[in-house]
Amino acid sequence: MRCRVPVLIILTLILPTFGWAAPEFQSIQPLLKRHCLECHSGDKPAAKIDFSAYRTQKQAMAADDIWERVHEVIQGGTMPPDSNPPVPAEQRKQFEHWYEQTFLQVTEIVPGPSPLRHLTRREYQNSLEDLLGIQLNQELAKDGFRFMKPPPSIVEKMLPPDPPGSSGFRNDAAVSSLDQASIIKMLQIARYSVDQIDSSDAAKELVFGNAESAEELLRSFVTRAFRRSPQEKDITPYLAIYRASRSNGHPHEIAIKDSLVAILTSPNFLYRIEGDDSSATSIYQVHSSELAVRLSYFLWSSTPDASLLQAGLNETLLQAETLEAQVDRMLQSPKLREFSRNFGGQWLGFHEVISEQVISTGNNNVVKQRLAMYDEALMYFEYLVRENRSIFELIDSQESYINKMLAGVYGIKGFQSPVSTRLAGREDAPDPLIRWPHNDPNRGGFLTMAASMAITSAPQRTSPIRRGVWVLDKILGTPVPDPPAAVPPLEDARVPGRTLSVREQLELHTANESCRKCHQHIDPLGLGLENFGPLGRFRQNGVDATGTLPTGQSFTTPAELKKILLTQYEEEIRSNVTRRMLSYALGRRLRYYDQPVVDDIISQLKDGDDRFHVLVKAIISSVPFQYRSTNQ
Amino acid sequence: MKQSYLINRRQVLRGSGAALALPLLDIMSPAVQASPQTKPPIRLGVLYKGNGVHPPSWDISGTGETDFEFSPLVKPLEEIRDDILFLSNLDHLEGGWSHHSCAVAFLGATGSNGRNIDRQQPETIDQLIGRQIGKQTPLSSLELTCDGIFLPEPVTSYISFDQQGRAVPRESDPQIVFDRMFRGINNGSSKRRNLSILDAVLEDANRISRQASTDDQRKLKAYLEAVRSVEKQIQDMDNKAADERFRPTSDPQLTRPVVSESFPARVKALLDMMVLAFWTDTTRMSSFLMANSSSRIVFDFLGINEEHHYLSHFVRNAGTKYITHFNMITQWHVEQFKYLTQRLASIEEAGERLLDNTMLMFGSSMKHGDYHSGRDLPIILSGGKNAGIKTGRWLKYPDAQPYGNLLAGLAERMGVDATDFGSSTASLEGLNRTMNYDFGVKDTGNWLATANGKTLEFSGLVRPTTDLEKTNVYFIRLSDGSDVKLDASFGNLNGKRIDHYVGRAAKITGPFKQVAGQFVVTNIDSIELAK
Repeated sequence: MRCRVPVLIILTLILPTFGWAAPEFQSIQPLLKRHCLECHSGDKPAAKIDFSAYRTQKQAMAADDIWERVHEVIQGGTMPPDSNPPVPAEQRKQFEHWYEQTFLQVTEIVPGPSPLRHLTRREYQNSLEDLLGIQLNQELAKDGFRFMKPPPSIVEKMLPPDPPGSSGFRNDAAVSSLDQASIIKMLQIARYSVDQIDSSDAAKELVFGNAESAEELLRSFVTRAFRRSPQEKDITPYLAIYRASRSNGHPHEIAIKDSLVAILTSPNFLYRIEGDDSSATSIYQVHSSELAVRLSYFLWSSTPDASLLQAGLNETLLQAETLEAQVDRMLQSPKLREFSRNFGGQWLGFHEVISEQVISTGNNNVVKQRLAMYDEALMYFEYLVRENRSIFELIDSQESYINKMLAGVYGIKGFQSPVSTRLAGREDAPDPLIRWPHNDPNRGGFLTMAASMAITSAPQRTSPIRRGVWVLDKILGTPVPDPPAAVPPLEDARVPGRTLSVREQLELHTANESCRKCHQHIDPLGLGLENFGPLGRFRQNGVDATGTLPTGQSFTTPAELKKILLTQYEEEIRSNVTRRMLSYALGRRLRYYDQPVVDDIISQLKDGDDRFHVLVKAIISSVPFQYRSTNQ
Repeated sequence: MKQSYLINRRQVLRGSGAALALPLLDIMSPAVQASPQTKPPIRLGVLYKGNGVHPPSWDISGTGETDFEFSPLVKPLEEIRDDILFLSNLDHLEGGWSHHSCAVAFLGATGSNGRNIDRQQPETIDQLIGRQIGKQTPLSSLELTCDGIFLPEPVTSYISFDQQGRAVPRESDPQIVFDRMFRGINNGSSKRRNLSILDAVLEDANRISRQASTDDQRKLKAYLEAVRSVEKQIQDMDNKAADERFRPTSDPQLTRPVVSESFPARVKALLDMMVLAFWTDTTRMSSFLMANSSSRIVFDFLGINEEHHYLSHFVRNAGTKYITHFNMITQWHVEQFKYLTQRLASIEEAGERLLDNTMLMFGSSMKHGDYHSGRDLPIILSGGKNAGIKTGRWLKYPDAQPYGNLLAGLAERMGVDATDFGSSTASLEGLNRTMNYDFGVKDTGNWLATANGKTLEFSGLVRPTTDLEKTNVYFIRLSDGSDVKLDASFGNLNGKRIDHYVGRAAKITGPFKQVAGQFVVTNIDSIELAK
């Protein structure tokens, strides 16, 4: 596996931009001066957009999202407001031209920024577990039975959850910050975790091994915790703790534990620090150990294991064959479940099915059902990636993962649980999910999965609007804007003495021009899934799940809707899956300068039969994944 | 391993989750070490609920500062009337009100900078106060919540933003709040060990941050500062002179709260933690986000199955049948405010009540739950006698005041100048003294009803019913003390914007019938403010 882009980079770096003049910010200044500055400048600029802050092309390019909005409102004619003279066609064309040249016709492949990231709460927990060989999630109750409601780990209990950044993912570098309270808690968590070593021989073996001296032991632990080969000065402060502790009369093991607690509170552990190459003049490949770290947190949400760490340290990871072998190995590891949990769960939203509120307040039956729905989504996503399925199997497939409870939900006859019937009927009887092929064309894939149907329903009723918005945003990658502020009441249009069906209610606001703009896209998708109840149960009676998309294709069943998506929206889906995964891998939202990379990955994916492994490997060998630039 | 058994950790289900055994750390007593101060400090506690209110059920009606009736939503507060100060006509003047601009606005008095958490937001008043006076207490401020993060618009889920514009994490587990306050890492033999750990970490952090790029340096600097402040906190524990905490004059029983799966029990425990924080002078500034500004909480314990946000859109989501549920939620939030006020009132401090030294603010930075309006915000104060808050009143400003002025007024009482904070232009007038504003609602004997064929023409003071089950009923008080009952459809009431007239004198015409001697008007044909 090789990084195939550098040649192209070198070309674009050497070749001057022939054929077109560099876009000049000056060209749109007359428009701004005449039509925008009056409101959008000064002490309190309207909508907090101050155009006087931009004077050069470079300054303007740093604010691409502002120009995207400007582009949108000038195109749509919503700005300037009706009270002001409109922008003349000539100036509008000029703006259009500048916008396209600046943001859309970018061809140079760049790594973009790689800002410092700290471990997310989940990554932190996984890393502690892997480094110390311990389990922080209690799986068994004291009596040996499993928990009905799994209690939170110490990490989940003490640290607040990470909010997602504008990439939509919690690993977004832009939201990273650790405050005083977190530091104190991390000290306590580290102390607790280090104490857990005592309860497991494997953990003791992993941490203490057969190191002959404290120094050797600490060197080995620092290497694993900091994920790179340590310098002498990396060890010194921690060895000093050990020695101080010893000279205060503490035994060897206590003194070592103090050092471990310190190492696990160090920024070298909590942050993913990558060295800046100040001698580099342009872009440069990250160090081999750093690549191992990027790989490991991308696919496992955890620290590199021994083999990956080693390949990073001895720089064999920079060889194409080693890299590919490592990635292949990682894709088959049980730790790949974390990729499904964090990437899949946050992208498609299925982690919301076990939101804290549902789990803490739901009764045993609700919780059992919710956990099964979550596990189905989790296992299915993992299966797609691990077994190198096509990305389009996100939409449709003949494989599924179910248990007895889900078989009931889906109305599947003849499901056989591998669990002995002796236990049947007991509330605490095990009900494992197993792979189960099916040939029901309405089922299969995320579009109709119970978890997707549940997170897009209101309590106890379906919400076609949420479902439509979910499909547009999560599957097609075309999110809809906010509804307008003044929405007319639907009750005004009620028919006395008769309750309107959901479809009729929705038709009311598609009759309104300002609503129709978005609802013509949203409603048919949502109504097309009306066969699935609020918990994903299939219902036939009285449900009208037919519809016509704004592009003219009609469908009468969920199966037909899926077919339309798969045939008519192939490009959108491929682009969306690529953008989401790249954004997750880089820990930042994608910007205009990422488009050439995205296009390149999409073409590799298309050539590669749309297989998940192709996508993962294309991302791993892309420039932003492997390179940094000094000029940020 | 067989494929079919890959996920097995929840296969055998039994019992419910047991509480996690946390590491036992040294417990420090807050009561015994501080040097006694003579005068108790002033504290500020704020409670926020998102999604606005149903305005006609919120607005108070009456003719003057002390002559008013409690609206249905604030009815629970009638019992503690003397400790309450109602405020009307505080406005957010910035346009474009939306869910994501509201949370920041509550303590920021300005709109948000986008819906994403990774944009810098303006610093909020609680953080400004904490930054300026918080060094005197172990925690500069305490942020609590019982709501989760609303993922599509994370900025709705935070009401506190620090000087760098970052969202301040909130605590939602009462046990963890307790541990942060009273089971620190501060004393005994672990103190020396912890200090040496922090030394090593600081050495490490210093070294890396020198090598990092500018952008990364900023993040590492924040981390360094956090570590340093932990170190300082530990060192200060020995330095009695540095501890300026007020010693409680009554004994706060320090018991670690139990974990409860019930939502109301958890909220109560969190409120108790705020009380304990003030009582022990662990902090003087605390905020509690009870419902984020686009909250999806389902109040099933009230018998309500719809989500809070959905209910707040009572106009577009089919009206009357949901207003009752929405109002029950708002009233429940008001009851939490009442509980907190009463709890603080029950604690003795230097011969008075803890409440006398604590200002509480409750409310929302959105008024109309469906129209998202930012005018005449629903805001109530309680307590704060020794901070110069004169309670037992209803202050209805004749001209709309910038909401920021209220925050400036509260900050001023905490010893912090915030007169140019957010939208504020000055410290809000009238919090400490009788203003006798003219409410423009005077009964001069011309609040009369005249039947004209099938139409009744009448003038009077418009008040909502206090019956939460009947949200389309209003009463119009006439000069003779009797009421005309208005019982119209939701569409009619909403179309005529009844919410504009509640608490004011209006002239109304409409068809009527007489029931048991009372006029009952069944539709508003016309409505205007009475002259």
